[in-house]
Amino acid sequence: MEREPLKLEVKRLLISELDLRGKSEADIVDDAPLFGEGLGLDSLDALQLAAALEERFGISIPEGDAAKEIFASVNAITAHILSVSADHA
Amino acid sequence: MRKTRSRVAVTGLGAVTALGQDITETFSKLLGGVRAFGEIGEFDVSSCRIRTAAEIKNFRVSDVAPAGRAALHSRADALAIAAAEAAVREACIGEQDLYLAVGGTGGGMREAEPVLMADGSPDMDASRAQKLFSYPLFSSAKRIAEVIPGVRHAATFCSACSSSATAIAQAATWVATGRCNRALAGGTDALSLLTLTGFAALGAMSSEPCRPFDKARSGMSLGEGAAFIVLENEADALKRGVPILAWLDGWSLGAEAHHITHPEPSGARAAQLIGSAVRHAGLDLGDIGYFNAHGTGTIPNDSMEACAVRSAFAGWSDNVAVSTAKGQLGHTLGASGAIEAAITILALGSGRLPPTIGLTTPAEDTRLNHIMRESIASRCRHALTSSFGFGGLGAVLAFSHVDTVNRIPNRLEDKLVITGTSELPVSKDRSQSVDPIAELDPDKSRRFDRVTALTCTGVKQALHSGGLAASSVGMIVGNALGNVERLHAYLSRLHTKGLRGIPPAEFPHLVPSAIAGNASIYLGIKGPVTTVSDDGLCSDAALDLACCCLQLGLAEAMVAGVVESPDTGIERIIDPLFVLSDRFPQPSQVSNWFLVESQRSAEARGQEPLARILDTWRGQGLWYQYFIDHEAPLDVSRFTILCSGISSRAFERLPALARWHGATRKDFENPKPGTWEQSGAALAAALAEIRCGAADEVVLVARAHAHCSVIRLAKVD
Repeated sequence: MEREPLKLEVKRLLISELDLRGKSEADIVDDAPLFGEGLGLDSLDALQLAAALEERFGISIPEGDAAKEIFASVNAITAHILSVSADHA
Repeated sequence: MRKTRSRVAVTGLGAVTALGQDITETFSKLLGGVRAFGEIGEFDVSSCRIRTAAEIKNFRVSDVAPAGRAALHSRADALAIAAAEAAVREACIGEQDLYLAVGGTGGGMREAEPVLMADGSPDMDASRAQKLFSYPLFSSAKRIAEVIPGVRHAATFCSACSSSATAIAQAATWVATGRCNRALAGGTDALSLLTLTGFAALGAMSSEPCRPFDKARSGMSLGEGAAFIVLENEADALKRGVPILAWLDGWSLGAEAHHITHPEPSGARAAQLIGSAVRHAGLDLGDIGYFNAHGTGTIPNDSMEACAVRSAFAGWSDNVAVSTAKGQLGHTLGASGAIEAAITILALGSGRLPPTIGLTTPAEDTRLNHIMRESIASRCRHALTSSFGFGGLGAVLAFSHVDTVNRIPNRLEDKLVITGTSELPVSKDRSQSVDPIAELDPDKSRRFDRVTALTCTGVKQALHSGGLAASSVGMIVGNALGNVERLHAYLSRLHTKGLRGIPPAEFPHLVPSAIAGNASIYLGIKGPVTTVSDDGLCSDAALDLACCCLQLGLAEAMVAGVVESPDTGIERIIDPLFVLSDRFPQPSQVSNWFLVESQRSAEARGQEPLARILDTWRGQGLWYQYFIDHEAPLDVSRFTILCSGISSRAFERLPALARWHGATRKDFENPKPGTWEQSGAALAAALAEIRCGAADEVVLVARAHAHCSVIRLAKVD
């Protein structure tokens, strides 16, 4: 997987899975915080996002604090997908 | 309307739980520290990750349902009937005029799930169709009314996990304001795949039996059951000479307006509800000796609740013994409010308070005067029980020992007015409708569906037309069926993709109260909030309840109304079963909202009312009873009787109604009916008659599906 298309895919997933109707891919900055500040997502969104990423990319997202690091930004999510996919490649 | 409030007595109670099919057995086992958790064996849960719960064993629907009709009763229906019959037996009620309030979240979900998961096409076979028969949440009320004689009016409440506490509070309000002498109130919920998978997907469920308030707690455990109590006014109970088990002296209902699943961590609103219930009972915080907590075992709830108890009771909190039954019975969802009310009543009466089993060491932030390991003796005279549900919908009930004197403040508001209303364009079919979701702030309305969006917009318009801010009001949402297509989509994904395919964030939006919870968060509404279903007259039921709340001073203002949106689930799955589409081939969106407040409150803020509300009345089929019971004024020439669902010609055929013949009689034909809801537009039409000066008084008589109601409006002086 290429990084740039993957980032776009992650943004599309965020918008559709979390019903971010008011946003487009262009509105979501690669390294901006997703949770708390930035997009202002909460732990319910985190659960939904984890389930969606697991289903879409066939990867697993750990629970707890490790998940917080992965969900820090679009860049972080993308990096995680690439690293676990590389492990399986 | 009445000016004085009656004291409310509890004269019967019944419950079926995983610790016993008799409330005495349940209570004795609770005192004995018995836990009811085990492997679920009564239905197939092999697809679930967590397969333990406090399940009721050896309970057969066929043992309870009327002969030959077991197939049309869900497990929730049967549990409700068993508990209701026990309560009514204890109260020695024969064929007497009775109101019924039922709380629940799932209804016949367990039976409907397999059908909803698979397909639900119109050509399903009879046995599959039967499993949907009790799917609507109001079914248990109907099934109870079929076996318990004398039910004049029934309403079904959903406020998520506080549903049956809301039902009890509203029933107590009916009795306290004199709408009825006697009410049967409670709730029911059965285990289902939906709740077993949904709570687990949220990470809210513990894989071990729950440990409420414990520092090692890791979530809730599910249970199931039903409980009902009989409430009657003091004079009636004393006259009948039936033993009084306790007094229900105070109650409070309110919303946090915070988040659909997370409680607001400081528990500030919950603390206010505790204070309100105590004041409503005419008591002081120092009078309370026992607090029966919601105590689910989740980290957020127990922290919030402990914080709320400590801040509400302040210096007195060390003197309030606290326990929850959920460590033994699990979380019985819509039934929990009623089951725990029954436990609180027995605790007061018996002088023994049950412990919180599963709690060995409280956390730093959940420290309270917990009863641990063993029950304790207590001579406390007053106790509270609390319930909190998704969307932050809370209820607190205050019970007093039978030997206590009456300290309730007994004034009622007796002059109520309508000060605002919504005007919405309703469309003939979905393809032409303005998308209600598009009208909302997208950041604050994520995952809202059409019914929720319609509610937000309609309530906002009613508030705006009445010039009132959202935070000072409550909201009663009349809705019969919820969002079936959304539920179907969720269950289909569970069926085809298994546990990993279900979207966790969808689950909280599937409970029927999600409409009200989400709208209250969106608009910032913090007064009493609940959904109510009265089959086809949800708007009238909602208005009646709003009036009750105002009379009793539970809120300064209330918005009441009805909402319904056609959805593919209703069209394909529910409608063929109940065959309504022959009568209403193209159901419309329905959204009618009314702002109601006391005349005193409207005058104080200089708001000109639209109409006065003189009376609200409920009946079961016998609509003319109202006109026989109420003297017609001498001159009815400036009256309009507006008939919805009955023909105005019926007045001519009933000589007993001759005194009303001088009034103008009109038939209301609803130009845009919904599939179920028939009355919201009629109420709007009645209001319009007053506002345009066509009549000085309008009597709206409405009937739908054998329920009927009368609402009397008058012009403002």
